[in-house]
Amino acid sequence: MNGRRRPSPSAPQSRPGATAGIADRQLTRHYAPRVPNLDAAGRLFAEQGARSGRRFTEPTGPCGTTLTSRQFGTTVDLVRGITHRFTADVERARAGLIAELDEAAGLRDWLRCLVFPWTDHFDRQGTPYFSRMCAQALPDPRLRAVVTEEALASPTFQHTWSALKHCLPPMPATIAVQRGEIAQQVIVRMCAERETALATGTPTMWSSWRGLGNGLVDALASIWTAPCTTGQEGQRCDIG
Amino acid sequence: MTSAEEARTRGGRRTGGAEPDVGVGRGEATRNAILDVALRLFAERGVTAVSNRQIGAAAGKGNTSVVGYYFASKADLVRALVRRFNTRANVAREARIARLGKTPDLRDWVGCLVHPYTEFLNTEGPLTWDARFVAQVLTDPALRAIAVEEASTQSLRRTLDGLGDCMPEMPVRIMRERSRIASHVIVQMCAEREHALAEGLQVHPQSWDEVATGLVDVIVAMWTAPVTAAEDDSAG
Repeated sequence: MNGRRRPSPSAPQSRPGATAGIADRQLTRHYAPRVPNLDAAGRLFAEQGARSGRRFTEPTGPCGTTLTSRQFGTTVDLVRGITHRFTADVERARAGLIAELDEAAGLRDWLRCLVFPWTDHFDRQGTPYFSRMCAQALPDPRLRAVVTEEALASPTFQHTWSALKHCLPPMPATIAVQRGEIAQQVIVRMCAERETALATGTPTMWSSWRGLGNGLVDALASIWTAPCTTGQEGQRCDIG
Repeated sequence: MTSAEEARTRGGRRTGGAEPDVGVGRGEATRNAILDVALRLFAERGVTAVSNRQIGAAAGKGNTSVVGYYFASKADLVRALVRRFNTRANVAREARIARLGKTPDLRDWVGCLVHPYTEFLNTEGPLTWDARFVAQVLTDPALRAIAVEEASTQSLRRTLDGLGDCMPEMPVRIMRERSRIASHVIVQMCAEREHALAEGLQVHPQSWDEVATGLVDVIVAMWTAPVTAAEDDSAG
C-alpha cells in the first residue's frame, strides 16, 4: 500500500451509469487497490469523527488518527469514496425490489424499496459502519452535500424517491421538506445505533436488520402521512 | 457533587501554574464564562475535538489550565453543561404542564416534550449552540450515559409518565424503538435548524414554534401508527 494521495476531490468520479455493471467495473478500477485502507479509514471516521484532538475515553487505536489524511487526502474524499461504493453495492438489490412492484404499488412498497436495500446490505456485512459514517457526516454541510450527491447519482434511488413522492398526500411544501429531513435523520440515526450496538457487543432492539427495516417502514409511513397542523396550534390543514 | 466541585471545595491547592482568582462571585463568573465558551466550541467543532486548553484560551484566560481548575475532566464539563441546559428547559416544561387541562391527551404530552426545547432555543436565540451540543451528547455512547444520568428532572419524568398513560397498547420492543425515533427527531431537527441559522442559511418554517408543531404532528402519528412489524422478521 503506497502513501500517495488519491486524485484531488474535484477529479471526475465514476458514477453509477445506466447499469450497475458499469459502475461496478469503474469502482473496482478506481478503488479496489485501496479498499482495505478505505475501510480502515472509514471505520475510524465513523467511530471517532474527524477529530483534531485526542480521543475522549479510549486510547488511540493501532490505526492512528492520521490515517485518514495520509491515505485519502481529505475527509471529503473519504466520505465520497465510501458513499460511492456503498451506493453502487445496493443498486442491484433495489433494482430487484422495484422489478417486483406493479402499478398498484403504494407508499409502504416504495418505502421498502428505499430502506431494505440498505438494511439487507448491512446484514451481509457483519459489523457495518456506513450509517455511523453518515451520522458523522450529516452535520457538516460539505460532507452532507457529498453524501446527498452520491446518493442522488443512483438511478434506482431517483426512481424510488420520485415514485414515493407520488404516493404522498398533498401537503404544504415546507412540511414536505421537513418530513424529508426527518425521514433521513430517522433512517441514519436508527441504523447507526444498531451498528454501534453490534460493534460494541451491546444488546440490539431487533435480532435482525430486517426487523429494524420493517420498524422503519412503519415509522416512516406514519411520519409522511401524519395529519398536519399549520400556523397556530390547533389549526389543522387537510391532508390524507 | 462532581470531583471538580470537590476539588474546589477543598480549596485551590492544585500545583503548577498561577492560581486563578476564585473569590466569591468572580469564581462563579469565571466558571460561567468557561461554560459559555465550551458550549460554543463543542457545538461548532465537536465535543471530542476541543481541548481544555482551547477552551481556556477562547475564554480569554491567560492561564489556559484554568478549565482544569473548575472541571476535573471533560466529562465533568459536559455534565455541568447538560445540567445547566436541563435546568432551563425544566422551567418552560413546568409552565407548560401547569397549563394542561384536566385530561391531557397524547398530543398534549408530546407538546410538553417538544415545546420547552424549542421555546428555550427561541428565547436564547437567534443564535444558539445548545441544540448542536445536546445532539452530540445524545448520539455519542460515552456522552449519552451522562445525559441519561442527568435527565431525571421532575417535569420530564411527569411528561414521560403522562405519555405512557396515553400510549396505545404495543409490544415493549416497538415502544422502545419509537421512543428512540422520537428522541432523534426532536434533537436532530433542532440541531439542524440551529446549525442553518448559525450559517446564515435560509430556514423553513420561519419560527421555532412552527417547527415544534411540525415535530409534534409526526411524533404523535409515529407513536400511534399501527404495528405491522411486531414480528422480528429475520428472513431477510
